[in-house]
This record gives sequence, structure tokens and C-alpha cells, in this order.
Amino acid sequence: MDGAGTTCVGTRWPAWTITGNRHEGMAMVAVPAADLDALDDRALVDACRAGRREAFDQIVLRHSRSMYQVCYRFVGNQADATDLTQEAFLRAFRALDRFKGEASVRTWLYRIAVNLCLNKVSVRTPRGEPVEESRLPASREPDAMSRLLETERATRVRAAIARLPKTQRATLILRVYQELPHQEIARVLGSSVGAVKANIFHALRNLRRLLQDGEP
Amino acid sequence: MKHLSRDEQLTLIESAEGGSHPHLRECARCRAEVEEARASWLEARLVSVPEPSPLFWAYLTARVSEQIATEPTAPRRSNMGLRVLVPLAVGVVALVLAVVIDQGPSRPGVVPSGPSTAENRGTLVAGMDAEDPSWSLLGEMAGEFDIDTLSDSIGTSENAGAEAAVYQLSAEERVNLAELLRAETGRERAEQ
Repeated sequence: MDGAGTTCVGTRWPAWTITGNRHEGMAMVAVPAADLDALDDRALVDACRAGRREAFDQIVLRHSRSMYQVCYRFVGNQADATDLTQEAFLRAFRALDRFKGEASVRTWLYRIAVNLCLNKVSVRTPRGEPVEESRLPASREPDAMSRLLETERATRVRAAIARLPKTQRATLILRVYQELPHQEIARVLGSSVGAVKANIFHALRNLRRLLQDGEP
Repeated sequence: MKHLSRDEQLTLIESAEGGSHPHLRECARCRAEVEEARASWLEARLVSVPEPSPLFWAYLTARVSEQIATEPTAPRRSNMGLRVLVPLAVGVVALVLAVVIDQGPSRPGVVPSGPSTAENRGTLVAGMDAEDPSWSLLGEMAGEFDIDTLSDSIGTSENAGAEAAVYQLSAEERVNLAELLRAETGRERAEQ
């Protein structure tokens, strides 16, 4: 993934340096300096507070995938998930001075994203991805039917999760998909470990009921 | 027979071991509960997020970076104004309400009635001093703070100390405090 005027400097995720002026119509990408790559998240937050905005680009590079995935789980489509991820990072940037360091940066970011998703999204009616014709299985493929059923099943599970009460939904997403430990979920949601366990338990039970009831 | 606790059930549901617990071999009820929940767990896990294009992550980072570039300044830790102002404002609210509730019914010409009647509510409003600068200050400050800032600020021991301090101020000191807060609010606006 190389291009004119760019240099790949990333390790985990590709980080790019741009030699052109971002205001000259060139495709603008993040420009985290090489030295920031070695810093841990808290040091990046400190660098950002000290006025190095590019430190925040590094935070975004590290956490964009997981943040996007959380948002996607709530909205079920790429466009809204992208908007929500962007908004969550923006809120995090604005709130950097309030980050106390009691939880990890990841936990703090998740908390912002989950609150944003719960408040902004009408998840009872997730839009879902528009079905492109190219993504539908061709009828002559031997496993076409099974793929179609799989897609249908996934849609039903997503819709059922969207119908869960807010806290149960958030807890289930963080546990099942993000695989966060109970303790970290409790921090993200501002609750206790006991409440998290109870919510997972109830969420699974309700999910079973919703799936058995048929079309949500 | 002692059934499995919710914690024990959840451990089995979330683990790969599933129904291998000895109790489940003997207890149909627990076995059914664990199996059903485990089935939901496994079914949910099968639903994946479609992987975007490899270029998407650079695009997303660029969008965020572009948005942040339009923000006025990088947040700094030294922004102590709000940290002090918010708890002080909360303290002023509590103080003013305490004074009003305390003085309202004992004013001459005021006939106290049941605490929940509309008449009494009118009495409380009548008992307030419209010239008290705390009220106008509160009106101004109410529009200044968002709920996140407020909820972040309330509840720390540092803030509780500030609130307690406001309770002990005299009327004259409260007026001075109100002026100081107003000046501080103006300074913050100017800095932004």
C-alpha cells in the first residue's frame, strides 16, 4: 500500500507520512511521527495534552478497528459505524483533559463509543448493509443455499441483539465480540462485575427467546 | 439438590467446556439452562463484522484527523477553571435552595400550607430575592456546562470539599464568590 509521497512507518496498523500539503487536494492521511509509534497509550495522551496533536492520530490508528467494530455491532452498517467511530474519537479528543488514567485508554474509548451508540442510535431498527447483487450467492454455486441461510441467520441474530435492552445489548457486544473481561466491561459501563454477569446471563436468555419467536 | 449459581452457569456458558460439569449430568434443569444459553452464545459468536477494504483504516484515520484539525486547540490538563467552577455552581445551587426553603415559610405575611401544594410553591418563589446575584449566575452557568462535564465533576472528594466550603460562606462572601465566578466564566470564554 504505497503511493506517491507516502512512507509506510507503521507496525501494527499502517501509518503513513505525507510529504505534500494537506490543503493542496492531496489525499490526506494520518501523519503520526515515527517516535510516537513507540509510546504507549498513556504517553500518547500526555503528548497530546502537551500540544502534539499527531499523537492522537497514533491513538486512532491503534484503536480504530476495535472502535469501528463496536459501533458496527450497534448499527449494522458501515456508513453509520464510520460516522459513529469518527464522532467517538472526536469526543475523546475533546475530553482528553478529563481522562484521569484510572482505566486504560482502550476502556475509556470504549466507554465513549458505547455511550454514543446507546444514545444516538435507534438500534431497534438497524439499517443493515444494502445487499449488493455481487455479494449474493449465485444460484449455481453448490453451497449457495447454505450461504444464503447463513446470511439470513446472521441478519436475524443481529436484529434480535438490537431488540435487547440497552445495557444487555452493550454487555453482550463487549463480551461476546470484543471479548473484554467482566471487570473491564464493568468499567466501560460504569457498573459492577456482578451486574455485568447478570446482564450477560439475561441477554443470552432473551436472545434465545427472540430467536425462537421467529422474525423480530 | 443445590443448583448451580448464576456465576457457575456463566462460567460454563462462556467456556469451551460447555456441559462437562458433573452437576449437569444429574440436574436436568441446570443442564437445560446452560445448554440454551450456550447455544445463544455460540450463535451470536458466528455473526461477524464484514471486513472493510484495507484502505478503509487509513481513510477513517484521515477523517478523524481532518476533523480534529478543525478543533480550536489541543485539550490541556491545566484547564482547572471548569473543575472548580462546576462544583462551586452546584454548591451555590444547594446553598440558595437551602436558604430559600429555610426562610420561606417564616417570612411575615406568608401563610404556610402543605408542602406539596401549588400555593406553597408560590410562597417559595416569593421568598426568593430576585436581586440575589446567585440566581442570575446560576442561569448563566446552567447553559455553560454539558451533562458529561457535570457528571464527571460531581462526586469526587475534591469537589465535595468545594461544595462544603460554599455552604459555610456568609451572604457577603457568596456575593463576592458570584462575582469571582462571573469573572472566571468570562475569562474562559475569552480564552476559547
